[in-house]
Amino acid sequence: MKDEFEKYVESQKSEFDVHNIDEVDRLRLWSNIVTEVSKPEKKVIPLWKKPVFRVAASIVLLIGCTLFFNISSDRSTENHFVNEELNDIDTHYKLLVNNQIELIKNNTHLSEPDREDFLSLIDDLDEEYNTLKEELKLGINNQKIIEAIINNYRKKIKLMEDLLNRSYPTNNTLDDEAITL
Amino acid sequence: MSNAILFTHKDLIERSKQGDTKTQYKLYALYVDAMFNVCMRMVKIREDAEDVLQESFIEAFKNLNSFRYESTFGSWLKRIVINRSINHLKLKKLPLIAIEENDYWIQNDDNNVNDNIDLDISKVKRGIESLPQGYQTIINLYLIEGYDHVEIGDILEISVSTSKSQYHRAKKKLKEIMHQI
Repeated sequence: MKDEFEKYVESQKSEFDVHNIDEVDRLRLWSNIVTEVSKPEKKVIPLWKKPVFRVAASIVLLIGCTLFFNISSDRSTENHFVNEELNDIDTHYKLLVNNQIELIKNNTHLSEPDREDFLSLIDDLDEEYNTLKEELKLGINNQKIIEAIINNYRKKIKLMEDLLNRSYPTNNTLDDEAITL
Repeated sequence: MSNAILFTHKDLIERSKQGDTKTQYKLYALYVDAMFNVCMRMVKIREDAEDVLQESFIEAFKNLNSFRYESTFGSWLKRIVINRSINHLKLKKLPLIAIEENDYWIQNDDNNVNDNIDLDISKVKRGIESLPQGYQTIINLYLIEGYDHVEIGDILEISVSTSKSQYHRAKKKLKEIMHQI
């Protein structure tokens, strides 16, 4: 419901039309308007004028984006976990292997042929370890490869334990932790 | 609205739709002054108003085929001018609605303020010019351009209730100013 004030203003609306545009400005503006209006519209590829193609293109784009982001996010997450797991394994077993190597180095009872055999076997196992690490980068069946890496470490430790047992048949100086796998 | 009013200048409009430049100019000449006044009320600065006016006529002539006589040509064109003006104010980062720090204590009853105001159109005009920009816009749209709150909500992208409360405050402020003039 309009009040007196509003009714009054409404009755006086024409009083607000106080501005004029002179003939020169009017023609100048018209010239700009007619130039713009007569410009041909930019041509659009007819294919995309059909809504069905627009929808199809949108769906393809959406699926593409989803797949791209999902794959990259899965890969990076997976790689992160694999790297973390491998690092933990590496740290744990390197500690054990280094312990054993130290003991072998300090062993005065070990014969030269035994030492050479041992080193040759360790080299083979190192080579296998490097191959497994390369395969791990490909990201195919990581679980199996990590198990193989662990076995590789275990073989090394077993090899060293056997060697040390032969040299210290009665006195095993290994830590409890070092032989508990 | 009667059909006769809706179909005002139908012949000119139909020939303009066919791209007849002379007829388009006739249509332009008929409405340019009224639309220039709308622009001036909305954006205030003459150069800006001319820019908005030119853009509006370009848009109107380019989209003339979408005009289906659901309203008069004048109100269809004015809506384009208003929307262009609002976009212009947005680009200049001018507030479309007013926000006052002390809004919370402004009372809703304005009866004691305006019952005795002197209804003088020159005072109304001076009062509107003294209002903050946001209040000027809503007073222009409701009181002078004749839009209702649903249409204003659509134009300013605000809710109907915000439009109502903004207008209420603006009108109260306007009456206060008029009292002091």
